[in-house]
Amino acid sequence: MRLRIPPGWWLGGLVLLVVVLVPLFLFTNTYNRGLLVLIVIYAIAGLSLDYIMGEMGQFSFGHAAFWGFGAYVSAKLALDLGISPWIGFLAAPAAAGLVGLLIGYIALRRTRNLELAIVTLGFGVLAWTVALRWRPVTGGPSGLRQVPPPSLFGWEIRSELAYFYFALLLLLGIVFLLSRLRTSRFGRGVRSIHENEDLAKSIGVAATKYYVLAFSFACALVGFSGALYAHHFRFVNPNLLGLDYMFIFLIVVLVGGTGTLWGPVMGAAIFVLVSEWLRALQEYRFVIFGVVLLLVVLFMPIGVFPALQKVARRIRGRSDEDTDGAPASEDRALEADRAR
Amino acid sequence: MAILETTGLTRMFGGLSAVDELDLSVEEGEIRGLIGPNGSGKTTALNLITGYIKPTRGMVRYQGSDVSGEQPHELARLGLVRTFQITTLFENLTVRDNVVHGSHLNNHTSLMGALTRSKRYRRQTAEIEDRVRELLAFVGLGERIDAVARDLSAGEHRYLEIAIALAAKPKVLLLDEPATGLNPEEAAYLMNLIRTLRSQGVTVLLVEHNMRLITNICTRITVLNFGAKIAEGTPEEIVDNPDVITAYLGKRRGA
Repeated sequence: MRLRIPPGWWLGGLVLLVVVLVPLFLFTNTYNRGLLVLIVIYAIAGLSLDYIMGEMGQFSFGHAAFWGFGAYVSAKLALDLGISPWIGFLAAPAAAGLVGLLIGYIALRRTRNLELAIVTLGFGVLAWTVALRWRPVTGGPSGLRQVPPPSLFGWEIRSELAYFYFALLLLLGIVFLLSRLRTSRFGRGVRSIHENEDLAKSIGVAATKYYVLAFSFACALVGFSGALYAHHFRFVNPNLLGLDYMFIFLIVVLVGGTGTLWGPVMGAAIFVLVSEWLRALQEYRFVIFGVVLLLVVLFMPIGVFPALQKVARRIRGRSDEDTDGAPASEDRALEADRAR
Repeated sequence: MAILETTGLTRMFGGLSAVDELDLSVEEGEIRGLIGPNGSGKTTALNLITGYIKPTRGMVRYQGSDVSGEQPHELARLGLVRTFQITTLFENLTVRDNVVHGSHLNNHTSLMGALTRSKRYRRQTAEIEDRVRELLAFVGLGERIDAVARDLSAGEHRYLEIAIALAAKPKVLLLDEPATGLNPEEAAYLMNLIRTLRSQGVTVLLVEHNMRLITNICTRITVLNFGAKIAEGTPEEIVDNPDVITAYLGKRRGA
């Protein structure tokens, strides 16, 4: 069998190579390398939000709440019970996935227009308030500190660079997993519900069950990202569950491009680096991001990554135009894909 | 034995009954026509049978067991598969992917298999794709396999819908006005397909308002008007039935 690498993986691989090598030369101090960790963590959160937006065609306003929840769960287990962060990395997604199951069961049972968006908004506000007020457990406004880093054979993954490569490896694993999930029976079921729910039901897809499970899966994934955050930055506070992070994840997805796996990865890199350049502007950053988001939605509604893919295809299409017309139809398929 | 049977099936919308005490009994292996003027409750009846709306009263029996109130996907699993009056496809997917996604009930791959691309998964996927190609060739879309569904012609849309439904391996196929929007040749082609399906053992319930189109393929025809059954019989009996003529053409003056 001929090994076929999907077009996205070439571009993704190139970006990856840059991402792997650049830190060694360009990101030389601890602070900058911390940004790299942030990129990876946001990328995982973005992938998870994009699972809801791109694969399910739904929206969750509570995604940061699930993220923060995952962070608190893992931090709390490590601090209070001395449970290893490795267990936390499993417990956080399990807990977030369970809560997601409940929320999904409430919101996705019947017609599903804005219900998930509204129910998750409610959950987000509730979770944030609990994190803020339930001092004995959550530590109140100041949150929890001294969250331990994970250690490997007695060696703590504490340095920025080590944690970055560690998280990057996980990110790659997740992208790989997600790409394969798409062609699984479950992935196709979810896709068919997104495309046409009535038709999906008529051919035997248990639409509600699949959507509840898909949402729960996305919540588990973002909970995992939250746990990664907690054990690297070593604190959690109620802000993690708030709208700031919700907007960040949304920017990551929309700038990168929905419905593509590498889109949110690229979106995360763009967001972290640009917001770093704009750091001097402090609170105006979000104003600028609001404008950038508006411009992206207006002029590049498919997002940066799919736009690059299109350009790449056009260049390639021009060079082998004589041989066959296939690239044109592929392009059209892709465009139709994005038009959803 | 009746494979599909409704007794006293009723659906009220507000104070009006869209379907009124419908008793319908479809024998295994037949092509049953369900006809009636626009608004006579044909589509509502089909929605009731396939679980898309819940009946106000009455019962649906399938293969001898009560399935009233079951979810559409459960009924599909049992072999009761429908198409829709308004063309309903996965428009953004290719013709091939439409039927691959339609093969959900035929897809026995495990999640682990898909994630690891196990040998078993690849074999099962290849089998599904073979079956998809067969189905597309059967409905005459073999050449259009890589086209995006939304780019198909009206006739091709309908053939693809049938291929998707067939991918679910129906025992009873319920078609809701499949000839709408087709020209006479396309409609004839479609009717031929339906006839072939019957010879393969699929029972067909064909909803249609164009009487001429189905009189020569149906074994029996049930006629609805204002939600109630007004006639039932062979095509010959139906075309000569004065009640049916009245329902379709209105009362002749002085008649």
